[in-house]
Amino acid sequence: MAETPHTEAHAHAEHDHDHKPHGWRRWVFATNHKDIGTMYLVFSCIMFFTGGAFAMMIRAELFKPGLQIVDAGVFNSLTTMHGLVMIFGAIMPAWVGLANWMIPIQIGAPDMALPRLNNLSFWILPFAFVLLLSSWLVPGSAPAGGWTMYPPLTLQFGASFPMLIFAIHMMGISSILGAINVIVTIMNLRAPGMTLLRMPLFVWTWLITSFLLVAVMPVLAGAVTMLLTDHFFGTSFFNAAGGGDPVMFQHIFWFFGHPEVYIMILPGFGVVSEIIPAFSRKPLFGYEAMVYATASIAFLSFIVWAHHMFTVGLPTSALLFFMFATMLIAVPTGVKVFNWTATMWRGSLTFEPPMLFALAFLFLFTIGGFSGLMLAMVPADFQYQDTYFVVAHFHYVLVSGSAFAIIAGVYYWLPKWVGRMYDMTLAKWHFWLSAIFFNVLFFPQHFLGLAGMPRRIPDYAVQFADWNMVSSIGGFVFGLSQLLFPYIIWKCVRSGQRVEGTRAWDGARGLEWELPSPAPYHSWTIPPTEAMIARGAEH
Amino acid sequence: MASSEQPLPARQDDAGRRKRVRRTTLVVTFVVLAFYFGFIAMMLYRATH
Amino acid sequence: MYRARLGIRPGIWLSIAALLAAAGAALPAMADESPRGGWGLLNLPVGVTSISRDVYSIHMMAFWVCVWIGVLVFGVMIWSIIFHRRSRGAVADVTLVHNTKVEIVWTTIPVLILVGMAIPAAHGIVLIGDDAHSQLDIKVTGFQWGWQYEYVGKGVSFISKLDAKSMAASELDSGISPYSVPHYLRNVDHPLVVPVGTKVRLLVTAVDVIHSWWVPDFGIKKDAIPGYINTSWFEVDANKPGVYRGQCAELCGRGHGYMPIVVDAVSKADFQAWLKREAAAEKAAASS
Repeated sequence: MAETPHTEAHAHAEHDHDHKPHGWRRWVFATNHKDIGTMYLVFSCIMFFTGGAFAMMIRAELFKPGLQIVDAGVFNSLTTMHGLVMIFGAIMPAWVGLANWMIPIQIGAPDMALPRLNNLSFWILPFAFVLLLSSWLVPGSAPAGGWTMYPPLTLQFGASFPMLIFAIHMMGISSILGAINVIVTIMNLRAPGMTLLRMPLFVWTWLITSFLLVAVMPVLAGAVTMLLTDHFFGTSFFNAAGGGDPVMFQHIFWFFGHPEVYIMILPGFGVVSEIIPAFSRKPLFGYEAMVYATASIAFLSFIVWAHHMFTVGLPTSALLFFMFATMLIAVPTGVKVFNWTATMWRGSLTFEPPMLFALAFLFLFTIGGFSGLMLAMVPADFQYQDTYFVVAHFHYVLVSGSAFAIIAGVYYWLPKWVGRMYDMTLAKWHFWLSAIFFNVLFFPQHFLGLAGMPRRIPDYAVQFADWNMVSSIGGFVFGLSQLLFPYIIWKCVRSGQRVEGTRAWDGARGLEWELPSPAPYHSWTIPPTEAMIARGAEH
Repeated sequence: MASSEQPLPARQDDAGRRKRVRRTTLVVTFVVLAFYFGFIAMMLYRATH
Repeated sequence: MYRARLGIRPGIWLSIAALLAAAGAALPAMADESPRGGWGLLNLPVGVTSISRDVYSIHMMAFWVCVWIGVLVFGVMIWSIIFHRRSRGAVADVTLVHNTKVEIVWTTIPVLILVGMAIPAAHGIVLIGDDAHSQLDIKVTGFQWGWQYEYVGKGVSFISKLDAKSMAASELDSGISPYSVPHYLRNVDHPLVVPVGTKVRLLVTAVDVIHSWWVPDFGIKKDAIPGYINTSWFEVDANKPGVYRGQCAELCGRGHGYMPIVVDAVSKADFQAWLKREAAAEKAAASS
């Protein structure tokens, strides 16, 4: 260990304590990447439980046939708001929060490149979600046209419609500003010696994610603007009666929407690529292949959008093209899964909570990938499209993919953030309850979809009753067990056992593990040494 | 704002880096705006021709 | 460093509990007398058209490909998890970070598998797209919330909506058990009648918002979109007359869950007789 820079950094940490703003000003005027990262993560946690509450109501209504709790209109609002809140409120801000915390630390920078912009991009979000969630209170209740907002249906909603559009605009601006900040930071603030191909994969995946965000969020903004003008200013972009084209919206939406799903999963690939080597005590297998695979997935994400709309009546040539392009994504994704497997191969594995969640990611995301491959087969997709098979598929890649990767990342880096270790026993309970009941919740939904149950219906024929009940029971236990997560974090922050030294995990590599724990308020006020960078970039 | 009163050591004497940060920001912002307005222009063209 | 203190004990308990729960769920399945009800509903129907059988075989091929890849990949992962754990004294082989030969192999083999899967799928696309030489054309129009069927050139057109019994039972807190309603939410007042052994072409559209016409046993699903006329086709096997049920598959507002599709496939002779009766009845209704 190079002792000198370490102690110097530590001295700085002590020194900086005096300049940390106190009280509400620290948060409202925050420009520190860690404070903003914390706010993003707390916000995301609140939204995770808000969206989760909607999901609990959905599962409660679907517990048995017949309507018992909410009427059909409210049910549609619940599914719509669940999707919007989880995607834009929980998953995406969680990734931005982790990016804020970790990117400057991992590239040897003192902070993000644009701290005030960073403050703005966070503080837009609470307003966007207050606007979106308050649509429950207006006449006609919350938007109920699905998170995909397909016209003409979505144009039928009254007071909630403009609220939805403006909320989406604000979320979009927030994401774009966040992405600009990440790109500028990674391009310009890397420590001397931190070349692109020495960056940790979390940084790499976030860089690629940022480019996706910059390319597609403006398209979403344009699409919802056209919805707005169709609704209020008499344009006919999507109105067939006025010569418009409802299918055009779907093309535009999924041109945004498909890269969007990779925006939610690529940083997860990054996190898992950090955790599996750490707990296998072996460098990541095929580092460069991982980088290229991520880049090719990002590229392919732009040319597969129509696989979300195989049933709209596309010409045969388009069906063939989008099927082949979609199937092609299995190749780089397969390379990633094989590389993670090879990283564990002949390692020295231990199973702390971050590793457990990373392993659940590995198994369950792969299952989601399998159903994704099946969905790519156009003739079969004609049966799967808009059924619970699709619901099962995207929850396997989004919950056991993105959400488990976020949880794994938090369990991995939390000791570095607060300088304390959490209760491992409780965290393991959290893991086992999540992993088992996730499958009880979502695996039967494959059966339901294949048996013919469409998605987004509030009530169903009685032959679907049994598996719906199993799924609901899984849902309730899964939902409740997530309450352990904030409790474990809170307990850790308050009274966790102190972590000595820089490394919380003996196998962990990377610049974050060269800083003292907890990480000093300003990260790398003195750039890391070449030795530190080389140690972190062993691959 | 408190954190900007005292520039961080790694940044305070690095004017070149500041310039590069500004340039990258402008380029990326330009790309965003080009996508947004270019996209809307494309749609307007499609809707009117 | 922080070592696992509890091992994997809670996981083992919970896994056992989950297995017991699954066994408990499987028992009633065995007792279930109906072949395609409740717990037994696990897979796509094979269906009664050439399309649905083709789709089923593509689905099963993709499924088994995924299963075998899964067995292989998960097998390697599980092997590592069991045998390469530190508690067994495994020492990490830190030189194992790159192997061009292996990486080429695991990029090429998936490409070959995908090509093998894409060929039958492409055939399927062509089969489903071939709607020429139909013997009967039916225009299907989705609306909020029901379907209108028009037998093109036959002078028969009617509306098909959720039946009254399902409607009454489906109200919030209706007090009527869905189990007491025959074909709850999957029954209509006026089913679509088609002849078996006849190539029927559907011209699918909608008047208000987007709907989707789907009957799993026919293997086709087509979106009904305002301003568009999408075509699709099916031919029910001559030896498989019967009642086939499906429902709208695209979110179309609060009534989305309440617009079923019921197709009564009858013999050609019965169809002709029905068509004559129906045309006469509609004429009488129009003139009265």
